[in-house]
Amino acid sequence: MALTIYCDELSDELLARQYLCRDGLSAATVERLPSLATAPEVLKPLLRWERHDWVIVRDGVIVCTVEFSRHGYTGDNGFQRFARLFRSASLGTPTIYFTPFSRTRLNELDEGLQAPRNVAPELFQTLLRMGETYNVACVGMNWPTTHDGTAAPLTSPAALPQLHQLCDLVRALAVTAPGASLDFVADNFPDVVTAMRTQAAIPFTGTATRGLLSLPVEMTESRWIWDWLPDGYFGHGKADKVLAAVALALERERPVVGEGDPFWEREGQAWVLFLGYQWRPDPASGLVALAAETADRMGLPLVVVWPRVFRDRNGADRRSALLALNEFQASGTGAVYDEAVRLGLSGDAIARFRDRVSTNDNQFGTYAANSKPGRILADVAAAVVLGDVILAPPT
Amino acid sequence: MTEEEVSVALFMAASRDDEIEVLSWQSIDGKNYFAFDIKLRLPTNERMEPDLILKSGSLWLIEVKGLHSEAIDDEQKLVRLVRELGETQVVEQVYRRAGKLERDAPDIALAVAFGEDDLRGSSQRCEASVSHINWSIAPAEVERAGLARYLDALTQV
Repeated sequence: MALTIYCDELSDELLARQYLCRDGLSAATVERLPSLATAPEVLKPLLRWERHDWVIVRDGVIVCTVEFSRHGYTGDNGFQRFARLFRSASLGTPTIYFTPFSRTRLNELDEGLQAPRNVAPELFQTLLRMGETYNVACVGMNWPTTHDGTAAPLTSPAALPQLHQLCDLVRALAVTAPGASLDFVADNFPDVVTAMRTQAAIPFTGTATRGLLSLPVEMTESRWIWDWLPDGYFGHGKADKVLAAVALALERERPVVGEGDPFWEREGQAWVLFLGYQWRPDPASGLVALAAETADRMGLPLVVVWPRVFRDRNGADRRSALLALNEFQASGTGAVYDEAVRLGLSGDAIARFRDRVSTNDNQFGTYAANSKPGRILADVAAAVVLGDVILAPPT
Repeated sequence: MTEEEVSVALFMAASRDDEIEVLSWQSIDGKNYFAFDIKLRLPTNERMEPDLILKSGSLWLIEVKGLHSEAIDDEQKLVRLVRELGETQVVEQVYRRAGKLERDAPDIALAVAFGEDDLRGSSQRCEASVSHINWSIAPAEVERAGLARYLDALTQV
């Protein structure tokens, strides 16, 4: 039996050599994870999306992946690392996410402590569900926190027992058939599953921008998106939503680019994800993966709407959005102001937004097909509605 | 040896030595799995982040570089840190951020570690109060006596 532990960076390698290479993995080869371009075939489907911290390969098959996150991502960023977990599971590989289940939002230079916040409970729900869907173990393990609410050093007394348990689990999965991993974890690590279920049961909000869409729709028009989003969506919460509304442009028609199936013209349903953010690869990739998991489970095409991203960097639509943003910041007038008023924002809210808004041109970003989100979208989305076009890749 | 190699070797030596507590290690790749990554703040609000903070007999603040000549600025930085913050504040800040409850008052010891001594000993710009850990020759002694003893001997020079 040939076992290799691929490690992303130096710290991952040190950790593996010190704690993982024992018992069944004592004779394993430890290597650094190669780049996608130089990777052996077995690693390429995984690396096409993202890099895990540990990737365990047995006889030419990936049998376990592990991701460490000292930072417990909360709020909008809760799915920052999720794309790699989903990718692993959807390729039939057990995956483990080792992260604090809650953490304190604390700049360590600050004196005061602030309230602890939970890492997105939906992440744990999704991990549990993915395990059932793909019949592989998808495990979240708690990285204990210390006196200030941040992750304890792994070799400290507070975290060492968890680290040992993690390594025990990885060593066991290294010699278990992936298809048997789900039952193995349930039978041999019940406390881990219970902790995940407890975390998954915490109430949460924030699912308003994902949901079902009844087909057919006039996909090339903007109207269906306005109708699909919750009432008053753009007028509530962060004023930055105005920028998405401007990019979405109620009256705009978008050409379809690509040879994909125009599924939206037929009766049926699709699963939709609306991203109101600018081009932010990590959190966006996680949310796309989350939506992909749902769409895949339901057997529906995935539509991703990302209006603040444009295909054509120098196109008229993007240029006009940037001009409107600059005019708003400079003089408080123009299309951004008009949209804010139309959405019902108060004069104070508009003024505060104008004071803080950045006119950096990444506010209306450019789609990059050969980026991480570009590759992920190409793999999972049936249609991507950008600010200026609809991408319909062949499926 | 590169800065990364020296930093890892020192950290590993410290981890193996029961007489040493690793309070902070600024790992090269930013993944702080093994220790806190303690940042100290001067009264001017400026931040300083020694590469390693170890507690043996003394509280060691250590900066790491590949070459000794590259570490000269760090020698001055370490001296300024202690001068401007004061020994008591340095200990208090380190202990608070590492979650240490002890109320002892260890001496502060300063050192730069490097993989190659291109200055062949010292230069006029070296600080008298900063010890040199020349990792091109130190490993044998560290292996024999342990890092704590090795560091202790530096303070006797």
